Amino acid sequence: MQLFLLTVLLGAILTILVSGNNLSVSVGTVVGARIIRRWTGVLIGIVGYVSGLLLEGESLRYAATALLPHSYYFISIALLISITAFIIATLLRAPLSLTMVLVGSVIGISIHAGRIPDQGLLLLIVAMWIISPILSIAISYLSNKVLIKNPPKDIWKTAISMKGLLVVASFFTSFTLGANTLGFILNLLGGGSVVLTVMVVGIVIGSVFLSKGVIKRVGEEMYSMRYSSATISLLSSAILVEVATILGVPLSNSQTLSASVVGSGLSYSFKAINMRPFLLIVATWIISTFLGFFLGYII
Amino acid sequence: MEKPSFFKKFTSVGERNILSKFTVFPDLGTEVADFLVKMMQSDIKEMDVLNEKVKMKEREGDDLSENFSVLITRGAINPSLIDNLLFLVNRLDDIIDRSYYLSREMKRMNIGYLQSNGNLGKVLESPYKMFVHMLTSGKDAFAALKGMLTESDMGKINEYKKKIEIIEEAVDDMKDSVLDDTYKNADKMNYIVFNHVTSMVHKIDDMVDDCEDAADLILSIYKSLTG
Repeated sequence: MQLFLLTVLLGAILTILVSGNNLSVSVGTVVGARIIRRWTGVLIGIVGYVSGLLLEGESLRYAATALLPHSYYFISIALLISITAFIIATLLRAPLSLTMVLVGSVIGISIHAGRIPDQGLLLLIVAMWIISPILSIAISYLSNKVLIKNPPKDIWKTAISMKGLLVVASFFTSFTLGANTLGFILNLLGGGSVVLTVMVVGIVIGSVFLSKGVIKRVGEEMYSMRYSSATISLLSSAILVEVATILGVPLSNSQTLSASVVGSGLSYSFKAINMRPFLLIVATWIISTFLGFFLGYII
Repeated sequence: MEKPSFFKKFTSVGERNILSKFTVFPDLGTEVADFLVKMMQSDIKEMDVLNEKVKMKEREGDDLSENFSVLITRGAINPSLIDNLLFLVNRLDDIIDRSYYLSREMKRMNIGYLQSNGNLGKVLESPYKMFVHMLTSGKDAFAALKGMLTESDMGKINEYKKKIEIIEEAVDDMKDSVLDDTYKNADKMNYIVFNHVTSMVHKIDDMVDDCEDAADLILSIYKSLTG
């Protein structure tokens, strides 16, 4: 019972961190572009996370159970590794994908426990993690090219449509994060109404109390893009995460979004894009996964 | 004041609201151009009054520019457009500022200098006629600029932009013509008159150049908004 409570507590902490940290990814653009106020953004994020978790969270059940034996001991270790890695990354101001650390640690623990996870699933995860960013760049690049080549006739009707679409894209991004990353955590914890309630509370706490700084920073600095580029980036990223959810594969939203932002940047003939931060993010994806795996394996 | 509904707030674009407010600048530009033309054509007694009117408009422009800058940085504007909008406000305000320079310069020359050196006044007749043409063309450019700020059809906006470019080139030619004539007749004027004509012609040309710069910025803002 104590181990169960500890696991649920760690799950709640991870949910708080994931919700707060990723709110910038889903609604940072729309808040940063000043289309909606921060609190409206937070509300969109919460509703998106919760509805995604409730409606599609089950899709990640197989991945969670196939990757890690259902033991509260193992689960609490995986969660502890992810939380620690997140705190260290925050202190070092390094971009970190919690999904990747979590999945890496889960696989590491599983192998350490002498259980080889479903190889087909592992292959699918690796393939998705490699293909998704590439696809994200390609979709974003091509969509932007099409938009640039076909300028709209009416500026303001287009701008209003873009704004509306951007809000929809923000909600959709939150929804897919709720379904995928949070769905994976829910299923790791074993599901059930108690865990679900704790996670919903965690979503609200994280979104309300941990999102302020990141939304402002990511929204205004990193994603201060044109409406069309921001919409395309968010939509292409969210579609890929949704596809991954349908396939039952955990996939990082920040991974696909960072890639689609690069794709948008590359589509302009005048490319004032700094590739260094993106390369740093790519390096962090690889490090995050292997760090999670290594820690999961040795602990 | 009635609070706008959520739908109305959502379907209004912050950038559109602010750009439509900027139309006050081309209107001010047209008014000051009219005052300047009157100063060139009317009796010397009216010069002081007209100069005061231009001064008032220049202050109005400065106040508007300050208020708009606050509105831009605090309003529902995409951060990536803020710099361009601030540049635009400055450029539009520059047009009015230059008109006040012209007004003071004319006042100094006509009241401060020509009253005691009246025989030199004739030399100014020809350049002043050309200045009137330049300012009248400037007014056409301001009207096109206003059209760019209120229009939503990209095709028409590009037409306005083209019109401003043509006007700017024509004003540039007029400037060259004034300068050519001034240098040809340099022996008939002293340094003060020569300096007056050259500085006036450059400033009027700058007003129309500012108008073209503003048109470029407006187009760039529209392109940023739509992809």
